[in-house]
Amino acid sequence: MNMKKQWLILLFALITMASCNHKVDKVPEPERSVYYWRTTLHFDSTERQFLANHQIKKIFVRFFDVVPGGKEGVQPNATLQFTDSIPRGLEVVPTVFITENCMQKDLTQLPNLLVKRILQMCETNDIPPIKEVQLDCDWTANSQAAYFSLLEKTRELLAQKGIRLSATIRLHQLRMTPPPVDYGALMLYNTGDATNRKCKNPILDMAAVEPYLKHLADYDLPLCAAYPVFGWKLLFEADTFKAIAYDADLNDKSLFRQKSADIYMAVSSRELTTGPGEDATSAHINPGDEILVRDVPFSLIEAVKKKVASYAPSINDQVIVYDLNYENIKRYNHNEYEKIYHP
Amino acid sequence: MKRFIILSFLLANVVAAFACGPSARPHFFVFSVYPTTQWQQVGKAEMVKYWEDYTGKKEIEWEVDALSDVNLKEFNKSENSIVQTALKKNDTETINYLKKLIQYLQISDKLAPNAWNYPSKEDVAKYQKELRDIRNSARIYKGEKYRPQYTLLEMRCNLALGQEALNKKVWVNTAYKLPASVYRDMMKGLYANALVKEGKRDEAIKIYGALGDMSSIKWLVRDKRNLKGIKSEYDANPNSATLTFLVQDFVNNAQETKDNNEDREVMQQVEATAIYNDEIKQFIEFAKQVVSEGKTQCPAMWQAAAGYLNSMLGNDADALTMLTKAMQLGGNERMKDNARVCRLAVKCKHVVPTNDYYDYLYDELKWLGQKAQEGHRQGDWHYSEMIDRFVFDNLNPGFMEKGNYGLATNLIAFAYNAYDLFHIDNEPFTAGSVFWDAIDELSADEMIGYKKYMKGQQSTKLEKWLASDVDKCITDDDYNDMIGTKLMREGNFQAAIPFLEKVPLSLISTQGISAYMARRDFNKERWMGHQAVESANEEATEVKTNQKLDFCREVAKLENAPQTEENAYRLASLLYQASYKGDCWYLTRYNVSIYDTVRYRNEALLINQTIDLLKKSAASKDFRLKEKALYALAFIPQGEDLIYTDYVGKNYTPVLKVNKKTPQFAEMNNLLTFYNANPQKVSTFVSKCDVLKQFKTLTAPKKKKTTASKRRRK
Repeated sequence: MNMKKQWLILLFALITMASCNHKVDKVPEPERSVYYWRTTLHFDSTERQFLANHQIKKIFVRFFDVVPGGKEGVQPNATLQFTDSIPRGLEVVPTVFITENCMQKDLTQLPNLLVKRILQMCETNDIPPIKEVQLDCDWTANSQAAYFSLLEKTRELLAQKGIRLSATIRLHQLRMTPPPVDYGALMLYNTGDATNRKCKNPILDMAAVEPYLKHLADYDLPLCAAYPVFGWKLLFEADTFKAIAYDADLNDKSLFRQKSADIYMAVSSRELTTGPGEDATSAHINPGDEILVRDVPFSLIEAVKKKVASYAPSINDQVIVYDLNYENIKRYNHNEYEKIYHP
Repeated sequence: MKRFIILSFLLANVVAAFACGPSARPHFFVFSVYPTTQWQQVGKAEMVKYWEDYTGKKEIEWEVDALSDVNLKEFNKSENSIVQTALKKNDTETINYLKKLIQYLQISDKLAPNAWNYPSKEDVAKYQKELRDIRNSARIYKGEKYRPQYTLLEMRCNLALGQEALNKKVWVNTAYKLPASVYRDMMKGLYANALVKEGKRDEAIKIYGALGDMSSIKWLVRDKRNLKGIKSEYDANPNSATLTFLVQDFVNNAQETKDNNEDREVMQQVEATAIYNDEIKQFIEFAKQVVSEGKTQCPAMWQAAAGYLNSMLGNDADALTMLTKAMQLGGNERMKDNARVCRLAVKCKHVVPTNDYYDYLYDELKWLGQKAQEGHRQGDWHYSEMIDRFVFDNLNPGFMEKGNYGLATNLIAFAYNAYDLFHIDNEPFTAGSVFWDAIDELSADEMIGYKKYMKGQQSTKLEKWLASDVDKCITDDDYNDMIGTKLMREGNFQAAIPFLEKVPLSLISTQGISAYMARRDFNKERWMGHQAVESANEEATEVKTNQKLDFCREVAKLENAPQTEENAYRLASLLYQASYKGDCWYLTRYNVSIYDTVRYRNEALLINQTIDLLKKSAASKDFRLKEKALYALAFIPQGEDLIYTDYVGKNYTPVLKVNKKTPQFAEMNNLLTFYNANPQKVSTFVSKCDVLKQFKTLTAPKKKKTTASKRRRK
């Protein structure tokens, strides 16, 4: 074999190897992003300002949930009501949360139903042409097969229309095979047990994140990172978790007395809303109950961000913050948000 | 002459659950300043009634609901009876209305926010056009028959089109002028909805209040359901319609907290907001302030709230003063009545057998009974519930404690009548009624006392009034039968005879137990076989003899006879049959269940007596008598089951085991020993007894497995 032939073989081998490697390292078209997770689409001036000030270009909007029920076995729930227009220049990524128990149902029709409904919602509500859809599900080993099958078929249908599919990835899912999607959004929140009052950092805890990071290097799916900017007011009776008290006004002296920086004790009884929007249920707060305030210090987000990047250098190319609302915007200052978004 | 009907055995299984122990009492809210009907769904029942009248069919609610499924393209082929009736009557007006209604319902379904088929812009435009067309049809309808329905349809279309504001005009210009009907109420609700959208929450709440739509009010004031919210509502408008709901809500929550003994866990289970003493005190002060400021048009409500809450803190004397004053203050009739009910609630807490107290109760209970009757006519059960609460929680136990069980018992009849549950000629003395149960619970002595009381020992107008209602439904025969039965139940068979002798067979023959009495024989030994009665034969049956009387005479004869081992066995057999485990349970009670046990005060322990007597006869030297007695002792269940199934191993394999802890073990063992000693001599009922064979097998020493010697050869 002459030298020329050897070079050709080597070149062919290199080309073959390159084409066999499906792994794409980076998230396509990364942008500063934000989740919108409410039941009515409406942006107030602070939110519009926030989007503009931080050059946020992508908004992952929860369109609806999918829950068991209805003639098809699964049905939409809490569909977003459009009462406002999307700020100009913002790419909408329709996002659908699917409860894990749907995976026990016959999902044969679901990919079609999902794609059709998402596209119809966009068209009816004048959403500019979309490039991506994201599905969110807390899947486990038990539901993995059904969910992956759903993702495959949905991705196929979307691909025919030139739309990519992304999926949320929870930390515990890093140990398993990556889902068949174009990329994943690694959810770096809800890492602890909010119902355990001893858990000081249920939203984000470095100690809870770290054990999973070793899987990142070999994870065969491009990832972006989703960081929490939200806080929780957790209602406890002694050590028993009762609810997340969304509308508790901790400055209400007739109801609360501050015991320490993050603990407020109830001094009278009250009924509190335990969720956002009109679907919220309520919980009863009794004297002696305590509200534990839990949020994430900026320094922790920054530290986790650095740590994650040390395992997956390009993961912060696209940062999504969860989620857009007035209170969360006020939680950190402009510079801190800039640092969160900076790759 | 009225007769009470005794439940059959099967029905008795349900009734006898009473014997297992009292179930938790409901916590009826005392404070009520608006009718309870205001929590019910507005209009549905009347709409269903309309179509029931139209079709002449009953229970067609599901067909009303299914109208939206009717295929309009094949309308004439629809199987929906409303459509069919309209077609059959060739009722063009109804047909046209139905088509528009169905079209509207189907569009509503298609526009439902959580349907898989999300409407396109074109769909939305098309549906909106259709809605406008339906609305136009409604507007140009010239008839009278469906005028309210079409106007409602017009308003519903406005709502679906997101043009709620138009509903305000429709209401003002047209709808409110229509005659009162369920449709007009629904239109008024849509008008209120338009007001909510306009930010006129208070005005809307007032309408919802008038419509009885408390669910809407509750939603609108969901963030105000606490003292702070009440204060802010009052500051904004001292006569806000929401305050009626909020004040009642607060007081009821406080009562619920007290009724649950401030148990936080229970309060969470019942999903009520716990209100504790500090907040109650703050509310009382605030309510006093409201009354003194004079801005409210309903001081009666505030004063009553403060008074009743005060009683929850234990300040009953102050509470009574406040509540008496509340009755004189301003407010609507319901609010003043509420103050009166609250005052009665406080008075009922302390039963005192004085003439003043009796007179007070007479006036108040009579008034409350009338209010209950008025309430029934409007579907409001509040006053009936108050009678229930006061009688069962306070007055009955209170008067029982004071020894006036005649009055205590008749109060239960009053409470029963306050509900008028079964409508059997207002007959409280009906088996299964709370009053009948109360009578059944009395001991023989108490029943004799009750009869005397009923025959003229009532000394106050309260007692006379309550007794007069009851007296007409209990006859002398009833008294004699019940007293005789109670004496038997207590083991006083001889004493029962004179009462039972007066009971005519015609009475027994109307009772459910007659089905058993006519088919069973107490002379048969229970351990020798069960006397089955087919369920088909459980109807009341004419009896030829009163077995209760025959039984008493037989037992009395034996009790007076020499105490021989033979007589002991015979008596044991009779007593066992009359016990709750015997076939002839009807001798000592009117109902029984498989879960039954000793459940009456003073009830004789017939099974214990049976065992004692059998032990005596088992000591006999007469082989056959001893054999029967041992067999009977082994038969009688005592405590836990003798043989039970245990589940062992990973696969939970069922294995039969013998319970050595139960006293029946020793008795069965005695029988086995007897059998082992006389295998050839015993009767077949012993030698062929399955249970004995099973017992023998299960208690036989287990053979040890032999294993090969592991000794090595040297």
